[in-house]
Amino acid sequence: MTVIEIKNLCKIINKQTVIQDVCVSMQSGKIYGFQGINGSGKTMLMRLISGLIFPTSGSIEINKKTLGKDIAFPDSIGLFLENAAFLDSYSGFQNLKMLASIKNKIDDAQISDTLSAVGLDPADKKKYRKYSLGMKQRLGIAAAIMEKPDIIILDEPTNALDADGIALVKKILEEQRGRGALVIISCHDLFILREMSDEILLFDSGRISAHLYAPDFQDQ
Amino acid sequence: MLWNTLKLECKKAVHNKFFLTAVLTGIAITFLSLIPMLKSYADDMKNHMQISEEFGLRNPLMPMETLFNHWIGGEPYTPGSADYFFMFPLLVSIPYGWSYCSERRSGYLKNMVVRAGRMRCYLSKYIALFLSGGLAMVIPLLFNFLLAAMFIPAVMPDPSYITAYGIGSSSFMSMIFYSHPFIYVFLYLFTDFLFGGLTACLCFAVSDIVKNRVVVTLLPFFILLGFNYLCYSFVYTSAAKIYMELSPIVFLRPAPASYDTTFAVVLIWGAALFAFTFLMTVVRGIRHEIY
Repeated sequence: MTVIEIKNLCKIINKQTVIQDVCVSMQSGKIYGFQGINGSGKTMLMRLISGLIFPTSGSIEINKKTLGKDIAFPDSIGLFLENAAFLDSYSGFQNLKMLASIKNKIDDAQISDTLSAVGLDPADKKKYRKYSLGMKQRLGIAAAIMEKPDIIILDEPTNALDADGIALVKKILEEQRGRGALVIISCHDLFILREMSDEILLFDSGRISAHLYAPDFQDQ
Repeated sequence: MLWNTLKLECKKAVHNKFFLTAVLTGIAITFLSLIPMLKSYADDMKNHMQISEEFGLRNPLMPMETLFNHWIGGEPYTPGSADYFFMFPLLVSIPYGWSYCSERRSGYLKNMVVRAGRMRCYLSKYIALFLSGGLAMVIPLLFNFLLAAMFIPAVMPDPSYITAYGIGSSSFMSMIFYSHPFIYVFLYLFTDFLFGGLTACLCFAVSDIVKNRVVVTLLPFFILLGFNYLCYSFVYTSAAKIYMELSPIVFLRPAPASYDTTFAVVLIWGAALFAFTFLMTVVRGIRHEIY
C-alpha cells in the first residue's frame, strides 16, 4: 500500500511561485488525473513528487518517509515527464534494457512483454532516432511501467497518440491500477482524463482549485 | 546499483561514434609525427652506416637513434607532436562532453536519476567521463608508440647524447628515462591518461553553468589554451631565465618542448582539476534540481 501525503507544499523558482500551498493525499490502486492550463503547476508537482526538484517549503511524505530528508527519491517509481527521452543510436529494446540494467529487477522477457503491451515490436531493430512521435511516446510509457513500480507518473501520455493508442494507454493504466499501483497522469483533454481517472485535481496558478471524485465528474 | 550504473555509463561513453571519432582523429594526427620521424630515422641510419663503412668502426652515435626519441612523445619537433598536444583538450572532450549535454537537454538524465539516485548517477558519469577522456588521450599515443616500435629499435638512451633526447637532468622523471625508458613511457602515458580524463571532466563541471553543447565541448580547450597564453605572455618574460613549465599543454609532452616541469606542478594541477571537477559535478550534483 503506497500513500503520498503532500502538506502545504510550495515551490518558488526565480522569485516566482509555481506551486502554492498544495495539500493532497493519494493512495495506491487509484488513478489521479491532473488537469489545468499550461503553467498551472501540474508538471512541477510531478517533478516534486518524483524527487527531481526540491520543495521550497512544505513536505511530501511517501509511506511516512519525507522526500528529500528520509529518502532522496521514491523507492519505486516509473516516470514519463514531458517528452520521451532516449538514446538515439539504440533501438527501443536496447534503450529499455540499458535503463533496466540499473536496478536489474527485470529480465529481457519482461522488457519484451512491456514493449508488446504498448504496441511496439520488441524485435524491431530500428534506432530510436527513426521512431515516429507516437512510437517515442509509447516507448516512454513502456519505460515508466516496465519495472512495475508502486508509483507511476505520466505527463501527457496521450500526446501524439491516435485513437488506438489512447485506448491502449487507458487499458495499460487500468492494468496498473488493478495490480495496486498509484498512477498520476496529466492531460489537457478533460474528456480523456474523466474516462481514465478515479480522482481529478484541477490546477490553477500553482494551486489545486478543485478536487473531484469519480462519481461526481463522471455523471457530468 | 553503483556498479550497474557505472557499467552502463562506461558502455555509453566508449560505445559511441564521438569516442571513435576522437580516437581516429587522434591517430590520424599522430601519423604527422610518425611519417617524418620514420623518414628521419632512415636518413640518419643511412648516414651512420656510411660513416661506419668509411672508417670501419661501429658508429658511436648509434644510441642517438632510438624509439624513445622517435615516437610522438619523444620528439617535440614535428607538426604531429605539436598538433596532438595542442589539440588534446578538444579530443578528450568530444567523446562524452557532447553526448552528456545532449542527454541533459533531452531529459534522458531524469530516467537515470530516478532509477540510480543522484549520487550514483553523477559519480558514475564522472568516472565514465574520466575514463573515456583518458582513453581518448592515450590510445593514439600508445598506437603511435607501438607502430614506431615496429620500425625503430628501442635502443637504451645514453646520457652522453642528452641533447638528442631533450630530457636533461632537471627534466621530470629524467632518472627513469635513462635507467628504465619503458617505465618512463608508461608513467608518462599514465600521467597523460589522468590529465586527459580530468580535462574531459571539465566539460561535465561547466555544463551546469554553460548550456550550449558546442561551448561546453570547446571550453576545456580554451581554458588550457588561455592558461598557456598567460604563461608565455606574463610569466616566461625573460629569455635569459630558465622557468618551470606550468602549462599542461606543454608539460604533458614526454619530451619537454621548452622548459622542464616538476612533480609538484603536475601534482598541483592534477589535484586542482580533480577538486574543481569533482566538487562541481558529484558534490554539487547531489543538490542539483532536474527540470
